Amino acid sequence: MSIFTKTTEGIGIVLLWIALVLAPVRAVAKDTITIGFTAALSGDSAAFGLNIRKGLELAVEDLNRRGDHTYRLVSMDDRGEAREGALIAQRFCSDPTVDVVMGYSSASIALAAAPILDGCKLPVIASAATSPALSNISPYFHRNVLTDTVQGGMMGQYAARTLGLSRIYVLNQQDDYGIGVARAFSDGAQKAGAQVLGTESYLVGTRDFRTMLTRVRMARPDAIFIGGYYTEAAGIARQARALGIQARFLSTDGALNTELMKLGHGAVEGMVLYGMFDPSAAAPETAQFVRAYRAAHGEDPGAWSALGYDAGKTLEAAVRLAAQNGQVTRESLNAAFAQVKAVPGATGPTTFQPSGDRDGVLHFFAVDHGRFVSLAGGVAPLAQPQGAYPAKQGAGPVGDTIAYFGQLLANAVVLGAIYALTAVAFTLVYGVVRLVNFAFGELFMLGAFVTVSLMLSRIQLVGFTLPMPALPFLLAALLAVPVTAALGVAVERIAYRPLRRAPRLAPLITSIAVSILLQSLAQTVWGAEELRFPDFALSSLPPLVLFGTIYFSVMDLVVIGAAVAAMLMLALFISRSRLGRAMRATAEDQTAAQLVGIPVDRVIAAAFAIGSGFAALSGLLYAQTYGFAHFSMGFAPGLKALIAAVLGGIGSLPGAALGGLVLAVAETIAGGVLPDGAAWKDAVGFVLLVLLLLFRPQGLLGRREMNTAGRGSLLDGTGVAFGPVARRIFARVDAGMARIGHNPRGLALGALAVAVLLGLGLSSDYWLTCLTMIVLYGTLASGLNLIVGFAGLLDLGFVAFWAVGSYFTAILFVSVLEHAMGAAPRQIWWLFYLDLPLGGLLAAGLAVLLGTPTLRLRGDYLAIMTLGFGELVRIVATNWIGLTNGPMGIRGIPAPALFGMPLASARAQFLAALVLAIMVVFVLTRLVRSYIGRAWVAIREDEDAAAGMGIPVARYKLYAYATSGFIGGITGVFYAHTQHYISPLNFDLFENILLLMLIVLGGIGTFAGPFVGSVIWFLFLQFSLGIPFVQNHPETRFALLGVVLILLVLFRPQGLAAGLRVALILPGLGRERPASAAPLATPATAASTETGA
Amino acid sequence: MSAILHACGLKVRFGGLEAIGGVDLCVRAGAIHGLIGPNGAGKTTLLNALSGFVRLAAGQLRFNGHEIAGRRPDAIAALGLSRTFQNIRLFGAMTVLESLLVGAHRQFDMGAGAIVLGSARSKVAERAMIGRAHMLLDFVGLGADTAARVATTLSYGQQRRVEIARALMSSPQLVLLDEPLAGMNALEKQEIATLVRSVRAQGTTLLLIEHDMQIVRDLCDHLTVLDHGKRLADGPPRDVLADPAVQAAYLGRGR
Ligand SMILES: Nc1ncnc2c1ncn2[C@@H]1O[C@H](COP(=O)(O)OP(=O)(O)OP(=O)(O)O)[C@@H](O)[C@H]1O
Ligand SMILES: [Mg+2]
Repeated sequence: MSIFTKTTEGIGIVLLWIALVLAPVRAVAKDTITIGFTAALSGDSAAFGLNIRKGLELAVEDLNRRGDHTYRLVSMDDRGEAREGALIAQRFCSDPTVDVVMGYSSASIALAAAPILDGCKLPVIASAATSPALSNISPYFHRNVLTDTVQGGMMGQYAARTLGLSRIYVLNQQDDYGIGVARAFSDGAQKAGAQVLGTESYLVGTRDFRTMLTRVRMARPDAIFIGGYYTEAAGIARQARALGIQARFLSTDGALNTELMKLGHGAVEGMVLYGMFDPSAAAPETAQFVRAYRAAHGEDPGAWSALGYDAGKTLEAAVRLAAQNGQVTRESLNAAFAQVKAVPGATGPTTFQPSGDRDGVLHFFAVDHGRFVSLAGGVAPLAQPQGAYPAKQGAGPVGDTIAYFGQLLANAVVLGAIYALTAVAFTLVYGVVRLVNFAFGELFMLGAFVTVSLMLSRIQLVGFTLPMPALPFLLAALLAVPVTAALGVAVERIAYRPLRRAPRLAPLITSIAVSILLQSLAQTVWGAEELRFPDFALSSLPPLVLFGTIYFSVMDLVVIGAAVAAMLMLALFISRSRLGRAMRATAEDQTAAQLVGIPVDRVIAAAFAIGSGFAALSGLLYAQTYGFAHFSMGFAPGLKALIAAVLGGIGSLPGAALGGLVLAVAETIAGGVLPDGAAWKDAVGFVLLVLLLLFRPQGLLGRREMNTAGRGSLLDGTGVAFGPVARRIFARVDAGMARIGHNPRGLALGALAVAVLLGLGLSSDYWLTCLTMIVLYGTLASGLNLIVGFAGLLDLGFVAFWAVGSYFTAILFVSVLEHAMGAAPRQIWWLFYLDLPLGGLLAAGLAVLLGTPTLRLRGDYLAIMTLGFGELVRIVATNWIGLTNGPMGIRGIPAPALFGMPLASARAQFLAALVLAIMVVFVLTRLVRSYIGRAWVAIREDEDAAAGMGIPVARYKLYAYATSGFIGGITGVFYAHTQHYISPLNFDLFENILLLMLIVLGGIGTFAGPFVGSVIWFLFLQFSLGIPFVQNHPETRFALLGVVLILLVLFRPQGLAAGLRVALILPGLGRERPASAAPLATPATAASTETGA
Repeated sequence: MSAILHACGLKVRFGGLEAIGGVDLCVRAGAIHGLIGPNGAGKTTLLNALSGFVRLAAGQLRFNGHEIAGRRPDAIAALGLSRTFQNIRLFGAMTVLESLLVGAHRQFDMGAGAIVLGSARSKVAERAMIGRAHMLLDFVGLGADTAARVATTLSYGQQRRVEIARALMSSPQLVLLDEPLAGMNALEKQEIATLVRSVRAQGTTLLLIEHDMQIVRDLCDHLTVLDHGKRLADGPPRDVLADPAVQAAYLGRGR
């Protein structure tokens, strides 16, 4: 009885709380127009959204000064993810104060959001979504930017007719924008008589284009079209010039940004681009905007700011019109959008076509002395591109081939030097403390930022301009290394040292958390955009040419020289110095070292200092080589270096150096030889890694080690530093949890009752969708919890299973059945229910394939391999366009249905998600409360003792891994059908870290923990969106995530719900007593007991 | 009686150190076999070698008719060889009952499907093993109230007993006990010795490491003495302990 009253009481409290939370948002004066703004405001492509918002903010200020209506801007960060975009659309829908939606920095998000906004009749003006797929998508959807097809086609004709270019090589970034523009450009150019020599694609975020450009150089084009954004366009231009490519560059509106000149370092001189905004245009609106923008931001505006500004102006015109006719409502505003004609703006007049697209003109520009100069008055004879060098090539096909591979090798050596240097950092620390420090990528990044900052005369930090010393490169680099080293030591002191005796999982998790924290902080401090690496005397020298064909720069030699010198010095230091010898002794045996009087703590700090210094050195060399610093620049090289370190034999310094070189050569050659190799080359390292673990697990130069794992789990509650304090703080939570923990059935039923009541009682689609997300993330986290929480292995590639399930069903339903075979989703509704287990099995099969070679090895390998696996699945999903539709994603995945009745409403989806979650948790509890689950927990607690009990450890780890894969797979299938749209962006490493955070927050190794964590995080996420500071700095939420994760692991490793200890025996069986006092069973009688049973 | 375990020329190396340098060992079925030697002699290492926890550099190893050299620990355990550890290794965060059930891991054979569906057979098997666990708890002298306690929160002596009970859960034919009496008072030592005898009385063979000569003399049928990784003596306790070489090696350093 007491459980029941308690449960109902609990439900009452929860409902009351939710009612308070959901109480209508603050009242807003009626003549206030609220603009819901959404775009990617953090992450790699944040620049577009931030720029649109800057323009829109100017417009809003201007409109508010005039005072007919008050305009209010509510800004949300969709992080470039369709799922976030959909949720934000729902939020705008259910917020009655929102009158219009603006922003949309990418088409994929607009595509996901448009149907939702259509459903609540909320008008949209998008400013950077250029995909033709958005034309006619909804009567409420408008955009003031031309489509890719129109723009690319016009550029193609312009290039061939007006510029008279005839041999063009086409490069494009691998997404719907790049592909769409490049295709339209090629068509346009070919129709106008030009020849397209070839096409290559690259991923957004690629830094090294030399392999691809070496291939381009073979074709000797007279122009190269770069269908992509400014960061990559600048990188391509720079590296092409350094390879002696003499062609003229052409690019897009995505590159039309003053950042292009900053990052291009003169190589972009003469580049021709198009765009919708010409700041030099004579129109008074343009001049007024440029003036206002300069006053506010101290720099010239770009096209995206202009479009954001114009969206605001168009809104004002529509509001006026609507107000004349009556009340300003969503409906009347939308009607007004169709009626307003030629609204003057910075980009010329705006008129919307019935399709929602805009009539507009395209302007052409050339980069001339570091400025965009309009080519409006006809094409003035363009100066020859500067910095062009005669591309002398070897004679004949043989000479060409030699030149080609010679150049590739030269490229590989430079890259290899950087990989090797970072790999050495990893391996040094690993050798001494047996910790894979995932945060080295971020120290790499900080090394670059510190160097760049010191080389400038002033810099914007957190939005404030600070004077800087403008040091020469060498001095800045010499300072940046110790600064970063000190930071590395501080990180070690705070986040790793207290965990030295903790289970291996603990420092691995904190190192991931540190990585997230540093990355987010760097974004807050240095901003979301690339910071140009300043030029200096050495870097401005003309390239050196070997045999007339192999180009490399003086700085390339400096990079190689610095890397070799640093590694040699380290080798000498380790073998000769006292500290080096102490380091070796500590690496051999920490306890023994301590016993013979070696100050182990100081030795380890020294290892971290050297490792961090090396990471900083390679980071700054990398940044110099590619010409910029960026907050996310450390991730990819960090992963590569980690792979290189494992290739060489983790712990072996010469091995790391060799591994770096081998990896760079393999990547470069594969990228140069394989078809579309440039896009695939990042997968090479991972393939090498799998082969290596299969055939030579100790690495090229490593020593064979026993399969040892740190003993114990995070669950024994020994919060390392302030355990007792944490315990006191959480005492009441623990007591409460322990009380309900005694009655797991009561808890489960209570939670279920609350969920069902919410599902039936809530009326807001937005909150129902949020709840669906909470349940789905809780389910996914439960799958991850199985491997991390119950089996004690860190899995950083769990999202890959989720992706596999999602893609499996999406490909089957959309690409195969609907498109290829013409089946209507309505008729094959039952297939969804078949796909759930099939998607799960497919994921589990992959888990077995990956786990079999990996799980025989030390636990750390799983973390590294799964990290690589997650990336690999993302690379495949992005590049295998024929199968997955690439970055464009798969759209139109039907909602689940039951006997033809679609379960499409937010309520039905939530209830369906709940059913799925119940099934998953039920299966999990049954498995965990059996000999299988006990074996997992035994392995987690003490692998050797478990083996001594006859548990085949590797096989049970594989079971755990496969089961967790299965759960990821089925949840993925379900996810695809609730989201209707999936793309590779849904499945990045960050999601994995988030899931990990959810279980650490909620309670690792408990059934309730993942859901507790999920509820807390999602509510926090939704509420924090309302805080203005968070709106301006969305990345600070992830900094907070990192901090919370570190604090939890340090002080409260068992999480919030730790009181809910999981019994490993089915309830009701635990108190079983033998019927009679039988004698101690001998082998014979035990057998008979067993068979008799 | 026949030999249940037969080792011949076992060698174990740690880097340059030869921890076990060619040891022969023969454990007869039904015996209580003692393994003694000064600290660092290689007793634990030998136990680890027998149970598959360290790799053999050389030697043959037959257990119960199977050649087990080079096999993994779990495979050896599955053949009926069970063990405890010198420094108690119970599973943290598990109750005593759950730990014991882990010891019975190999006795369960139903598939995941049966478990998820909660088949009658799986429940019966679970019940049978829970019953056996309670019986063994009683057998090693632990009260019924300990079953639900988290094993690592018990007293040292109780943890030793849990470990022994866990090793007995699989109905092994040979149990290796690494210093089961260490750190106990005289009364407790007698209790454990009695326990060891009653295990043998059930037909289970035991090989145990112990430093207390008095207990060893009374308890064991056969002794093997190790020193510096070599077999120094082997035979009935009386003869072995009287051996001057043993006394020199053992007592000479034991002071
Ligand atoms: N994993 C290991 N790596 C390196 N050396 C080891 C290892 N394990 C044991 N040794 C060494 O092997 C030798 C034998 O150790 P072992 O633990 O077997 O001795 P023991 O007879 O059990 O001693 P004690 O009575 O103290 O338990 C010792 O010198 C020890 O230092
Ligand atoms: Mg020992």
